[in-house]
Amino acid sequence: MPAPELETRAREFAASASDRLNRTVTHGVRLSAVITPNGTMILGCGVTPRNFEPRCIPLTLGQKRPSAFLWLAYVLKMDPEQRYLAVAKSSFNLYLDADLEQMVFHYDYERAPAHGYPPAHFQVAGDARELSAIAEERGYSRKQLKDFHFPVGGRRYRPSLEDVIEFLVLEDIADAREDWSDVIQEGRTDWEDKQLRAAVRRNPEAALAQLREDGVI
Amino acid sequence: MTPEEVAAIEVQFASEEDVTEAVGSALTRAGLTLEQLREQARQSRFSSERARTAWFVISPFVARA
Repeated sequence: MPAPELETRAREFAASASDRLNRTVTHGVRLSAVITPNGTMILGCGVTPRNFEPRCIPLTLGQKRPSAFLWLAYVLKMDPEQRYLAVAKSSFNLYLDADLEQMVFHYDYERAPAHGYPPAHFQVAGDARELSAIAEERGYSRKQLKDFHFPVGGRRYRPSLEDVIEFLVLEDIADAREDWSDVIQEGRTDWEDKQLRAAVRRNPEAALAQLREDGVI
Repeated sequence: MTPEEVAAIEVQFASEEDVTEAVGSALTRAGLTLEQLREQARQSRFSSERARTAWFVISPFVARA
């Protein structure tokens, strides 16, 4: 794909995520993107060609002290057909501090992970006596709650940024703008539509069979 | 978002040299060698949050052939 087209796609993606954040739980956030020579793109707050590590985003609607910090990053690539921008990796992390010292939880997705855990998973800090007891019984004396990778929806139906924002608001972890719910719904509809289309592209026979069964075609 | 706001989103192109520099900086901040970080990633057990986030952003560029 030509560089100007990649640039446009990256800009649209970053703009959409920035808009979603600023209309719900943040103020004045502007994600940026870096496009590398192999076409891989890194998106996050403050990324530059020589610094791919995004800054944390304060969860506050103005000058108030942030209630927590969100670290989010995307790695994007064009799909194999070079038609659509695809998320190769995403990470939504919550921290108590901007220096990434105190992790609360993180949702991670990696299309082709180096490890054997689910491609989409959730990890959370804290103690879980029951899980620790099982781990210890099975010979993992130092395994903590944060070391468990809870599966979340698989590659296609993993949680979206909207889901994480909704969690932050519903659990009163972050202050929200008045119409945050409408923004989330708008983003979710868009996300679900894209995911459904991608699923159909990867499995058109199943989609055709269902449409035939429903008398649509 | 207005068209002006979309246009204000910064999108930059990195050179191969930039990528090398970005990978090196991330490793320095994590305080690990590439091999150490790669091993932590293989187990998905990182020594710090800096290590985990570093792997997230550099892994597309340091995959084994």
